[in-house]
Amino acid sequence: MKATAVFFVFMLCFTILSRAADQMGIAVVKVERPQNMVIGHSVRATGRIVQNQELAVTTEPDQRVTAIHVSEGQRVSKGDLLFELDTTLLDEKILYQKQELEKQELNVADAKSQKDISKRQKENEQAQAAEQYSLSTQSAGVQLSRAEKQLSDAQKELKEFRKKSGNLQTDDSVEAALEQALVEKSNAYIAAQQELTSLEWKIENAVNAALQAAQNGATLSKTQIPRTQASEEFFVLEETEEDLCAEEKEKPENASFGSGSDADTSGDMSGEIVMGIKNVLFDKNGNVGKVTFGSTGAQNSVPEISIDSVEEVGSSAPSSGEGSGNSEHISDGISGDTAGDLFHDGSDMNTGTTGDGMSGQISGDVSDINTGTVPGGFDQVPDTESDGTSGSISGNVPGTSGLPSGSGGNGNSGDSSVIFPEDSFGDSSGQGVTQEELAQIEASVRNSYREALAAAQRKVEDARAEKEAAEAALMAYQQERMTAANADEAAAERQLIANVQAAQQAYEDAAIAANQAAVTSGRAVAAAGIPNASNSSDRLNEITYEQMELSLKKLEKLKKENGKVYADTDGLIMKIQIQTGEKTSDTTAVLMADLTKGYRFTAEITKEQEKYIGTGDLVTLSGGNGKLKLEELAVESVTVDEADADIYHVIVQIPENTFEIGMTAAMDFVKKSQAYPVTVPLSALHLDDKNQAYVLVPEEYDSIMGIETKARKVSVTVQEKNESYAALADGILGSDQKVITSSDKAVDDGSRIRIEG
Amino acid sequence: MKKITKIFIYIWLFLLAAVICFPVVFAVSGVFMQQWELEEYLAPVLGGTEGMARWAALPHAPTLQSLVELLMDSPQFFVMFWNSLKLSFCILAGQTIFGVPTAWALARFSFPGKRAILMLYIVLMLMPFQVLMMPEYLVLNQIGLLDTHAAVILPAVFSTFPVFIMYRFFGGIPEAILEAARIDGAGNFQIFWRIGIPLGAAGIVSSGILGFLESWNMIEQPMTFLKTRSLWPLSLFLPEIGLKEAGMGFAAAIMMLIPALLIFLSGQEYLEQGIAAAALKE
Repeated sequence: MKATAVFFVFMLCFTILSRAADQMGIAVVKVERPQNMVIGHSVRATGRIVQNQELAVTTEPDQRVTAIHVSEGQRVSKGDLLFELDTTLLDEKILYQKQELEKQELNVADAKSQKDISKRQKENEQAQAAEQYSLSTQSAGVQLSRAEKQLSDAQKELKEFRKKSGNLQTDDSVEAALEQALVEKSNAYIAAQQELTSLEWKIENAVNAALQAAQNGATLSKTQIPRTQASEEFFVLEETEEDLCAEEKEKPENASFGSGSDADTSGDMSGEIVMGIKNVLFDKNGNVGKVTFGSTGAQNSVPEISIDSVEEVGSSAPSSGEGSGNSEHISDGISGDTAGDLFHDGSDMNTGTTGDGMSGQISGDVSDINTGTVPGGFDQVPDTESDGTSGSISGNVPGTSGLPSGSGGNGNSGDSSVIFPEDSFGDSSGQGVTQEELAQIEASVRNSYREALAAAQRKVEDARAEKEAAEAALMAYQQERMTAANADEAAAERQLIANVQAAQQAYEDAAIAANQAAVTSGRAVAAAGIPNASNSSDRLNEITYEQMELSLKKLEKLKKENGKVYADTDGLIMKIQIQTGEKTSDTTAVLMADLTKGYRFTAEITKEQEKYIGTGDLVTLSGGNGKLKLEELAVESVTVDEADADIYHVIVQIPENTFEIGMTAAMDFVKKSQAYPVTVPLSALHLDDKNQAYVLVPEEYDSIMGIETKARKVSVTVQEKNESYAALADGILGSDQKVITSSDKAVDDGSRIRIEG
Repeated sequence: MKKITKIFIYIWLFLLAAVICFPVVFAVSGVFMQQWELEEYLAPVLGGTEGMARWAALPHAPTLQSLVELLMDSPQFFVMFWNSLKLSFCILAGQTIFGVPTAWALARFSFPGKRAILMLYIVLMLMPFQVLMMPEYLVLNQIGLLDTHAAVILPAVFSTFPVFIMYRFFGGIPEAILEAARIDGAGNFQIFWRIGIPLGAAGIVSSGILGFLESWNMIEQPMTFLKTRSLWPLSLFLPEIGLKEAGMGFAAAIMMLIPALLIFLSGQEYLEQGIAAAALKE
């Protein structure tokens, strides 16, 4: 019995002990019911009061500071004396500056006179070139007219001789018919020749352009320089030239060749002299006249050159001029311009000088029908302007070779490349093009024109053959007629005919020489027209002078104020960068906060806080150890930091006379959310290893020990939270369900707990 | 010869005793084993691994850990222990209050229908719990005693077995003693109180010990009638033990054995006497 009693006592003790031990292991928790509340996101940040605008007070450099009347942090009013400068040093500086200014003034004058001289030299050069041009063309014209005179004399002699022989009337009709045929053939030949020449021109232009395009950009830009320097008329000319070529090709009938020999100087050698005048005018502004003239002379023909300038587009007037009439024509045609075309004796070809931007272009083709060996074509563009002559002359005088087309082409290419730079192929720019590649390009361009060129050459050949046939027929007829006449007369007539032919030859030589003279002197005129490199030294000197004048004015102003520098506005002295006794530098002397522009509060907030505060939100600022408190201040801006994307700057404008610049202030703002029915303290919210949020709720259960409480895990969805509360999605957790908010031990799902209180 | 026969008989009896005692040895050695050792031996049975369960008579590394754990860290065990004790003593008390007079009346008085009542008692005594469970449940439910200790106690209080045992003991008291008492002027109650109980004490104690053992080991009744775990007796603790708490299970088994053993030892004398008396009578 005793043992039993002892046993039960023993068991009773252990019962008590084990219960005590058990209670030690139970976590004591606090629970709370979820609340229906608004989540407030509080944003609190500390920042400083800064000025809205800083103001730098600067002064003249290298001045000695004699006194500084302000100190850092001091408030100054507008007009307050900031610091003083040494006036003696200032005086010295002003004197020095004045002397420098005087020197500069002299420099300016020198540069100006230098520029005048060089301008005058240039003008002189141009005048000389123009004079030279005029002289050489005149002398060539004189020789040409002399040769023409001789030719006409020879023809007259022949005519008179025939008149004397008396058989003129009988054969007139036959001979006239033959001559008429010859004239037509000649005209056809000239037309073909012109076509060929223009085609060759085009080919050369195309080749040149392609080659230039192939070369590098530097070359390209260089070729553009003459263009830009040349006057606008230059381009008009160029276009005109191209248009002309095209038009000639399309409408050869445009070229009207006057067949009339009735308008000759002598007027009596009808039938012997064939003249072709072609006049085409291209005009954009009514001032550009282009005259093409051609003259053919059979045997003893006297080529008549007539220039007709028309002011309206498309109008053409072939003119077979008499010597005296030519000058009138020209003066009429070049309407009121200072036309200086001089045609001596009606058969001289001369230049046209035009004033005030007028440009004329004359292209002439002179070919010898008799021999066919000296085809000649030249274009000449005399263009003199009143100021800054710009002109171009393109001449084409091939040598007396048996192949007119070939030599003509060569001559063209040489000239055209110099005078008419083309850059229409500027899109393809190959850098560092080798010689082989250039040759290849040239060949390909030439290939593309080969057929057209061959056709044109064939046409010329055909025309010449026909013309020669016509000549032969005329010759044969004359021969026949001469044989019918007596031998003496025949011999005399043959002699006369030979004379005419010789004169004809001489005339042609003179014509060629005239062309050459015109081209050569024309080039000199063009060269003289290139302006000198620009010289801006005078203007540069002037600028320097103005600058020096300005700095002198500043110094004088400072002197006027006795070297005292005053505050421009109400402000707070932020920093003084000058020292008494030291010299000033060219940087800021005194840095001021402009008090008239107001203050602002600036603070840094985190990215998390930035979500809840924005422009226009009303915040509370407190500072000055809690003495100052400003409510309902609107946030001016919230901007991200340039360096750190996690930092934002908040700026709040603050009213005047509240905070001082440099003060520290705290900003408070609470962003309120909507009302949430289930809101729990943040301490009740846990995250599991899958980052899923959950809360622990107490749950009573029946155990051997009686009714016990344990924690149960309930997964929840957090809708919004701040630093102390979290709003949970409604539904999962009822508002009656208490949640464990804190415990004295770690509590997890299933842990036994005891609810406190 | 006799000696040799005797020796053989002793050996035989010893072997039988060893077999009978084995579970106790099993339990006792298990209390001192560590958890890992128990798991190793018992895993095939409790853990579901392959092979046969083994056992060692002595632990590899004896420890009191299981015992301490049970006694110090398991308040549940004590809840159930005291529950068991409460049930047992309530039942015993009830049986004593109601069973002793019943047995006395049946043994010493003659009244009409006495034989029928005795027959009914015997029939009821033979009936197993499974038969009575359903009617008992319905009755307890009707009177609102389910899930209370009364649901276990009341049916046991009116158990027929102790009445039957005590009936035998009271029946064995010689009629002459009772007559002498009556002559001395003793009334019926005095005869019962002064003569019946002291002379039938052996029977009462025997039935008490048997009743205690029965109620201590009772498992079906609490399982059926008690839902609240805090009301459960210790007999329901062991079924909850798994492999992980095997050590604690053994400790609990030993602790459960001790009161029964103590009760038995303290009442052994009466018990043997009573059983002998019952045997002598017939």
